[in-house]
Amino acid sequence: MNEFLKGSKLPSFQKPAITREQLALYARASQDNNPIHLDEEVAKKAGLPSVIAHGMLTMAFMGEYLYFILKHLGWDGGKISKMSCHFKAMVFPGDEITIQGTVKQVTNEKLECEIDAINSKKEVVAIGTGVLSSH
Amino acid sequence: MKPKHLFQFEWSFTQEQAALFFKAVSWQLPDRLGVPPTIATVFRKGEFEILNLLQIPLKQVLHGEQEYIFHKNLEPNKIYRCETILKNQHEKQGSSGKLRFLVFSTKVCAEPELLRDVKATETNESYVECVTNIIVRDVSK
Repeated sequence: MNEFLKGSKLPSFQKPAITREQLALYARASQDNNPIHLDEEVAKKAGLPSVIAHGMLTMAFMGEYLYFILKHLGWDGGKISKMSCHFKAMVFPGDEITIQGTVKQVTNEKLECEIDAINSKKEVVAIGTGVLSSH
Repeated sequence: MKPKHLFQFEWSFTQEQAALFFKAVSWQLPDRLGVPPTIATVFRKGEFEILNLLQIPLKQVLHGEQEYIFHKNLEPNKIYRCETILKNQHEKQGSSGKLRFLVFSTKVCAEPELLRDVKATETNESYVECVTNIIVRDVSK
């Protein structure tokens, strides 16, 4: 499979538009109740245009993406060994995030990839890496 | 030398919380392998405690970077012993005011004695290592 070549593009993965209800759910699930994600007034007083999504929600999308890639590679018993994310731009309710990856290093048992999270305006909102093991 | 800001705590998450996490992420994959990997974010409790100690309001806090190294699968309802250390901090003048950068490191183990054991990581006895870079914005201007 060409996915096993360094520099190959991995399949992309699109998430539905982020909603405010989703941010409230994510705050409960993650126990990150920073009001800039939940309260419009607080967000604006803090100099933000509106509430913003948790950066970790974008990283959670990347986590799901890495499972998607494990499945794509047929590494059903595989696991995520490492992942990192650098948050580049704010994500807002209404944004549809697409996650895409590129193979960085690969062996029969390990795949390291670079991951981009891109919003509907094709702006990169986060970049990251993932290391997957086949078992 | 003992780090200046260190917070140890016991923490856990439930099966219901993991299910809520899947829902909050709009998890689309049909197979749910254990728990979502970034549920490890619940162990940021130590960071929030230290931010509170430093009197840094959450509304000024932005997340800069996050890294996880997974050694073992996290499981619901298990009690984890965790230690968060403020590893580094510095300030920089940004275009819209002063920015403060903080780097936290959190180690998640099952046994408390492993927290201080540097070999625990090498022997895969820790579950997850988390590194968080935080940016604190100056909103006074």
